[in-house]
Amino acid sequence: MSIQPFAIHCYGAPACPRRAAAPDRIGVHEAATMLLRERVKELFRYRELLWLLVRQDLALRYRRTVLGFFWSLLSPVATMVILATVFHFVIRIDMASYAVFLLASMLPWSFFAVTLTESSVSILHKHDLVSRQPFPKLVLPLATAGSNLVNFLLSFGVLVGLVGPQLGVMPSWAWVYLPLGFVCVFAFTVGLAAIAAASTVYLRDVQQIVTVVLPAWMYATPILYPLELPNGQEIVPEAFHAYFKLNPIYAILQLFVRPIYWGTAPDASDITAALSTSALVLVVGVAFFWWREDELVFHL
Amino acid sequence: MSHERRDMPTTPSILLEGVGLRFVMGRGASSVKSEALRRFGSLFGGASPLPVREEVWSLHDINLKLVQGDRLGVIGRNGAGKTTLLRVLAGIYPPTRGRVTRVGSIAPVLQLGLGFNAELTGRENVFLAAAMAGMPRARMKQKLDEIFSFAELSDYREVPLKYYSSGMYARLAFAVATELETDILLLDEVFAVGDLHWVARAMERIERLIERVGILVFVSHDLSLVERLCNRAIRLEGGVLQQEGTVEEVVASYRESA
Repeated sequence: MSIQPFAIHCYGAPACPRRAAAPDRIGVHEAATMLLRERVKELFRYRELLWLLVRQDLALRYRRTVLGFFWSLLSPVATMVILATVFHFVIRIDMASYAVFLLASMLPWSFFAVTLTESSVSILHKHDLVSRQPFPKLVLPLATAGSNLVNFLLSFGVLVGLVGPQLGVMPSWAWVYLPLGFVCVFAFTVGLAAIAAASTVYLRDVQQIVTVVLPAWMYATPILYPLELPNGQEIVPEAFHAYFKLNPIYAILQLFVRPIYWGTAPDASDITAALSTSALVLVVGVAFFWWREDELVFHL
Repeated sequence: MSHERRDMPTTPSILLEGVGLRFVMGRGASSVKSEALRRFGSLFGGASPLPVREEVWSLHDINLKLVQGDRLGVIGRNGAGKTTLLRVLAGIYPPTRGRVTRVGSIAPVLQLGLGFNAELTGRENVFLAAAMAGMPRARMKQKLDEIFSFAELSDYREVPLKYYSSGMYARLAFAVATELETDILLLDEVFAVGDLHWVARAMERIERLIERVGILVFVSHDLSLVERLCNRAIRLEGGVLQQEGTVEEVVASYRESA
């Protein structure tokens, strides 16, 4: 009759019997200090919910719109046309294939920015669910990140693969670094999204802070402009480059910009920085979320 | 499984030991300004340095043991802590004091149609509700026909929920909730509303569901329904467990006191 093995759920103080005292198949946990392993298992058990929420989000985003999925291609293209026009013809950034540069830097940034904005309210907006159904709440920001990732991958594939060649994108062996870029930007985004989702519940101001910080962060990151051109010409004086590289998302974006715009492999230092930053942010973000998870319901 | 250990529990159970739950009022929507004022207000000559946040104990020292076959009715006036108790049992509220030990899977039905999305079709919503309860999709797939035919909505599977009438919505929500497979079922005032024909069928379905589960905890103001579905009962008052006993005893004394 039971759809899952009998699980002992034990929560509250004084300390519950430790895991070691229980048979293997039985999970024993205290909610306040629920073991890491139990959290991961619980998340895995709800993978169907995650998958369903991602699908639902994707299906609903464009359901009943005439152009459907094309909107996810059209809106970045429109943004890019506007930016390319402004910066190429009005501000006159003198740079070959400026549109390609934008393509490589803007798409991952938009994925990050949109996911962070949406997931900051992902718990708050599902308060009825959180207070009436026990489930691992991390699926909510994860589902937001997941559906945006699918969107990002599809629009990236179409824009870089199909539209790119018209703009002068040359397929290159350096593209083997792109999967690493996707992994890093996803991990980095999920980490910050988890922090934003949990902290918004405590402090409603966070959702406003996010919308203020993101544009500032965008202009502080070489997304609309490069630090230097492939021909060695400096856009930003060399002396300032070090400061730009302190930006945690700088190295991650290089994993896209180098292969697509420069056609070269990213610097080894950027790869190391991107991997370590995104891993650190993911671990810290998810740990923070799990630390606060059980108390969230009291603050909704 | 052959390698099961001897101390492996084989039936569902719930044990509450000295469970207390405290709510701190005003810890909901906080803002930078109110937090700053609360913490640093005194620096600027505020009268009370840390305005005392109001505390409410919704449950006091609850001790309760439920085993296989128990059908527990929870009665008491509004605000007695009945739904709070269900949420503690479900693991939604971690207890402030005491300990909850639960063996077996649990399905709290605190609200019908929870998580339903009006834009999604009936079928999509059924899968969503199942996933939310941690039930595998494959298992739900087998029950899909049954659910829609019971709800008399077989022709509306692929219709978005927003085109359902409120009666249709309620029937689907009820049909899904009563199809969940679980060891421990928590029901909060979920009774059937509708025409007589529907109510009779719904009652029969609830009774069949209750037969399948190991433990039932049922919160209701409908005393005759509690008497009909339960064999044990507790009475809560102001978060305190006032009385525990057979359903007849507890309901009778509650009727007298009312």
